[in-house]
Amino acid sequence: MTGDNAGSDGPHPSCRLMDKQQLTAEFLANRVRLFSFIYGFIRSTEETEDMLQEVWLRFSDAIDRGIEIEDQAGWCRGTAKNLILHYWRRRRNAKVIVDTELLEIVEQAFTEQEADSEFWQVREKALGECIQSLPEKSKRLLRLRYDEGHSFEEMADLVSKSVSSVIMALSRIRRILQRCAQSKLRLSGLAK
Amino acid sequence: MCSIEAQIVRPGEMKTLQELLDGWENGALSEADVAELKLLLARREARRELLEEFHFYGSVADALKAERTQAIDCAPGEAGQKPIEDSNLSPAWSPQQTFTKALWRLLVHWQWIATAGAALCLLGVCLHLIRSGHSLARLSEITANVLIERAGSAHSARRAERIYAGDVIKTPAGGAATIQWKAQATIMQLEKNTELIILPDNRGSTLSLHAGKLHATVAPQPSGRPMMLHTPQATARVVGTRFTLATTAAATRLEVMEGAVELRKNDSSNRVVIIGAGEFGVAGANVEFRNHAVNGLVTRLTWSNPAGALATNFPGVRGFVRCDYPTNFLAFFMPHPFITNWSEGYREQISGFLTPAKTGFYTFWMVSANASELWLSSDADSAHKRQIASSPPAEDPASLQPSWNWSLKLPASDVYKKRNATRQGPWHKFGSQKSEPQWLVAGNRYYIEVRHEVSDADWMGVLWTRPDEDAVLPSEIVPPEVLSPYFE
Repeated sequence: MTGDNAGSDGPHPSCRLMDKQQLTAEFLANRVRLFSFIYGFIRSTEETEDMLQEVWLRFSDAIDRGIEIEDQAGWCRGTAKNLILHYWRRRRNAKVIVDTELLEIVEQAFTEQEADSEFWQVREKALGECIQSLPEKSKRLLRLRYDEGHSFEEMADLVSKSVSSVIMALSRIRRILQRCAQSKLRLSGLAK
Repeated sequence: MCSIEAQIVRPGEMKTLQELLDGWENGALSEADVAELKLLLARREARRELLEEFHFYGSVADALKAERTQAIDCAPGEAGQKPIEDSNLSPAWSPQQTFTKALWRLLVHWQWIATAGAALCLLGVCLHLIRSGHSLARLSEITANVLIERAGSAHSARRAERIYAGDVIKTPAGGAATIQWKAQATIMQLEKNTELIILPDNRGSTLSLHAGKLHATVAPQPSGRPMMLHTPQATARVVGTRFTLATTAAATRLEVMEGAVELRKNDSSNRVVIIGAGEFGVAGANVEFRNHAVNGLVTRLTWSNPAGALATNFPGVRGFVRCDYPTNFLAFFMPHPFITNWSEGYREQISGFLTPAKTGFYTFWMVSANASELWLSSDADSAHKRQIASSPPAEDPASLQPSWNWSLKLPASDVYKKRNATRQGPWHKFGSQKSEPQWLVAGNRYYIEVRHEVSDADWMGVLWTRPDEDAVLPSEIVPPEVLSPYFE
């Protein structure tokens, strides 16, 4: 079916989709930070991905309903915060301590970083590079924990080590990566 | 530095922020720790430190995901990159291992280490991928060179390849692909020249069809989480059904076989129609946005300012007036209420699929006051059509009127046929109006098309005889029950 749009009123039909594509791109740009916010409270990669998807669905639905969202990152974090609270309310017996006050403090920390977004973007990239430079053994531990979402006990079984060795090794890897990222940031003149 | 022992609460001792953050990461925070943490986080510097810790998770997950994607692409890793020193990384590793590593470094040139490391890494990641289940779907079937765009690069798809959020799947001309969703009975078949994007939604339930056509069987979706399919002109909301969605630069068409799909138009009207089973809807400029029955209709496109021969210059790209869906291959006097200026010339293309109920030879007649052509394909592909009948233009267009010849209403009695067999009728004025017998197989779909030069006193019709009828005279106008509309 071909033809021109002469005579049709209003914006081109694809404009709405273009807007949505742009908002999708912005959502993706903030994805890592939103993931971090959720993961910090959920501690499960899979559950975090699910929650991230839920935030996206709600965001997408809000856009479809024509709701104006000025602060996309803040809106998504606010939605995520409610979902996190709901998540933990459904798991009252879980040995995790999360309260509204702590959530708000962390949210405040994320809001404070908005003005410094360049620093965090560079840091994300630096951390990515540092991870690439890790030995395979260390990468495997990271994958087991942060990609596949295994518990420390499961990891200990998988790598044939004790739970305390695994926790200690992961702590050391985290410190190494933090230092590596810090030195890369220093080189780029962005270190704080 | 944190250790299990370090996390044991010592009465009267305050923990450092790092100890508390480590405890948080390791799931070892007590209520007292949380209270202590909240106190510490009152300081802005502490909140920044907390943020660094939080950012770590997202960055790590993202980097590992990117690594996984690269491994799928089978792209070579950064072989020349030297691993950072981490001899103190894992105290639980045996000294023997450390010695072996040092010896290895001494004996082998670093490039070999890097190459072997990259190969092992790829192997490890591939094995990991086989075990892990983070993909949304798989390409269960592919034909020709189907492309997958992922993380900014494109590669040829492999059969059974996993599909991830953000992937763009492109089928070439003559190609096709079938996507089988993970953990649900959802299947999508992409036709040739189709471009489908899996939007960032880790259930794979938000898709964007940029071009082409897909046939979908969607399993019932979780309550409140329908599958959403975006096209440039419309958005389809699916909760579980069987349908076909097609889009071109100008319009989107949704045809539903089972269940119902909500179709929303992407314009200022934001109108919604519910397309039920056996119905279709089209969203586009100059197309009425409503649901239509799939059977008994044909697609009519109308253009203004025609020029040149029908066969070689049709349909015109410019001057598109309207697309609508008449109920059959019969147009009477003034059947175009949307045309207001008859001083311009108009042409129409009426197309559809003909599905005969009986196998045998069918003979067609093309009748019209002005010029028209009848085309029939050997199958459902419009590219295989050929002209089987035509009616030439009127010698004197000014004399056109609906009663210039006999009525199209056909008494089907044998007596009538015998009496009128030798008489001239609108179907016998020119020899080209009658087709050769066409062999059609019951249940098969055949593309059929009429090209017609329209004027305000014009009419046209397509008539036929069925296999068990005498093909001297047409017995009826091709009936709606064997027709369904065509869409590119």
